Amino acid sequence: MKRFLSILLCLMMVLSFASVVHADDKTTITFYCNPSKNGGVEAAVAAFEAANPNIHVEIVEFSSDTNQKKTTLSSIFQAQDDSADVFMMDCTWPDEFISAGWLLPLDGLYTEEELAEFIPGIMDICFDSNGTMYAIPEYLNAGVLVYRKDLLEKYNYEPAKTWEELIEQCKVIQEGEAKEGKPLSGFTSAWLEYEGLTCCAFEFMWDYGAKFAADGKCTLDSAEAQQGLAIMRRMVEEGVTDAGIRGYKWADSQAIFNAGSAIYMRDWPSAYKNAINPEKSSVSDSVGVTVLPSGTAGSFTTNGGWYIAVNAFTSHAEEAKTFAKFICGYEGQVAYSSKSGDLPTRPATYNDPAFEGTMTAQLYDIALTTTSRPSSAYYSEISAEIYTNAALVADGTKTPEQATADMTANIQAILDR
Amino acid sequence: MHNKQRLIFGYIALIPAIIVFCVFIVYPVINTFYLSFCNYRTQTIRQGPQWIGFANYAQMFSDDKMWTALKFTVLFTLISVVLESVLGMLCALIMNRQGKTRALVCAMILIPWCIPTVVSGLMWNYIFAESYGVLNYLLQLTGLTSGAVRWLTDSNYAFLSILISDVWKTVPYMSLLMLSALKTVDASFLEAAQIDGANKVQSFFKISMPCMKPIIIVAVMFRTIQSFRIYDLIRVLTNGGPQGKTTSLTIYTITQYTTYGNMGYGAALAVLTFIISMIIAVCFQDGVKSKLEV
Repeated sequence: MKRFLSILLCLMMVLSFASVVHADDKTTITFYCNPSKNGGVEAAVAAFEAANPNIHVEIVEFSSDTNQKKTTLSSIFQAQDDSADVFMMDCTWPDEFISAGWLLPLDGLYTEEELAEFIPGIMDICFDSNGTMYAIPEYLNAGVLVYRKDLLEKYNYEPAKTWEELIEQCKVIQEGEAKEGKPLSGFTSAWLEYEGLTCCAFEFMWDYGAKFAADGKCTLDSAEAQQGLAIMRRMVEEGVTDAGIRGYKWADSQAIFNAGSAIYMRDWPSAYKNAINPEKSSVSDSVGVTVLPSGTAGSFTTNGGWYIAVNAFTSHAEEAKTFAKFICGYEGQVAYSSKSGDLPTRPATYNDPAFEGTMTAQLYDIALTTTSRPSSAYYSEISAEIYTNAALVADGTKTPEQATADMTANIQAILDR
Repeated sequence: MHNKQRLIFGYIALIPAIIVFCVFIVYPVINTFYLSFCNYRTQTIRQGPQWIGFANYAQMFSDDKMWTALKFTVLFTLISVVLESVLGMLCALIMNRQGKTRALVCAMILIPWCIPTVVSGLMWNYIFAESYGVLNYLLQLTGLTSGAVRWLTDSNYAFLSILISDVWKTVPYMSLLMLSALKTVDASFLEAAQIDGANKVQSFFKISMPCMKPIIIVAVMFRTIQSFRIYDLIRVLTNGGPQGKTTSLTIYTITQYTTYGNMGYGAALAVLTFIISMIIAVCFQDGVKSKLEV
């Protein structure tokens, strides 16, 4: 009897493993994506499933920390696992992922004419040095300046055109409001030591004319870069930034702005979408959006775009490619961006009725001029140098001169590998 | 015959456990040791691991960030283990008392330990937050500080914040172990001491402590090794910042291994953590043995 029971148990174990295999004929692919903003991903996936009833897409959301997202993906790929069939990829990852052999080549997925339908400036990241395509741009992200219309009107200000102007305006408004017993911060953003700070620091340095590298030499050790970082320090020193800014990721910074505790916020378009949403913001009626302030060399914004790629180890390559193409296609992008507030990568979509009267249409010009962060297989290490040093300057621990010298030396060592 | 059959069955029954042990413990450990002697990066993963001997270990000695992480980890381990042991013992003494408070203290003290570390980390994040944190609000309300304290972004305070949340979380664990140690003390010894005129403090240090020593040493050993590998709490609270000042050895290992894709160097760092943990274990083991032999 005992023996019979044990055999039965063993059989049950084996069978329970076997039952994992799906009985129906639908193919399920898994899509690793950024935490959904206002249901954008769900909308795009629903549109895809409606058009492809034989494919089911399982959505898996990343954490909100970009480095954490990359860690999640790297562990999957190092195991050559096929669990993430299709995934969103930050614009700073392709070099590393391609050289690791983790991305499925997408040759033949697009014709030349079809490729020309995307914004040209963001396409170079999609190809390796031999011209093989590995990624498709899904949405663009450009830094924007979100501001409180009511406060600026009250003090007769136009949205700041330069960083200097922003500092002056904030000081006056802060002082005025404090007198009325309503203390608030001037400016908030994501200045925690992570990727968000790298984006901000690059913008400050670019705004004053700094260039990252020329001919394989890092050129950040320049007066221009120092000027940019010095502005960050000034904003902290003069009490313009929110007290907690050095601990904020985007969500923290948005929480401050949406609670009505800040005048200006540097964030991405999706943050504006949240700020005007009465369910998420207590100042939804009085929020405006505009281009980022300029330095002496103009106004630059980091391309925070996200791309779609297919896992090289997927067991559903065809379905995965079909999905990738759809979600970056006209219909997919409109479905996604009209909900999420991110900017589509196809110029044609900006005229779609779904975007009429929205910020997306307003931001078309900014979208065309975003600047990419340096492209390198060792990008994470470069970024760590930038954000660590920028934080030290904001803190007042290092002078801008020291910081640019240190980061340049360390980045050069990375570039020389 | 019957015995032999039992023995064979015993070995057969062990096979699944041995397989699981080999696959999940032995293989990864050996592989990590092997990789620590290799140049192996995600960027060049297709070339496979390349043997470079002790180069990763040599790099470790000249790596300032590694030294910062090691210093932080050692300091943190020392302070947290001492605090947790002392406070744990105090709580255990309270729990060991007969009386009305006992049940209440037992129930309350266990709550922090029951909360998953990441969740309690996030909770402390809200408490320590600079401009909307509860702690700063209270400090400013009572006038103890004039401005906001940068609990998580100033390197000294960040250390303190992590220490506070770790102590809060782990004292219950220590107090349970200490309580079980207290229970092993033979009441007749204490009674005899009392009759001889010893006061409570004397009988605690002269009678209870020596009886409990072996258990305390094991408890402290576990805690030291655990504390040395602290990861999740720091991940959630400061992620190793500001400027890497709260980066523990495990955080640094994982940053190198996955974020930077430098798997060879990451493996070498993992081996370093492993070796130090082993040394801690061996030291304590000797302590346990010598005490038992007395």
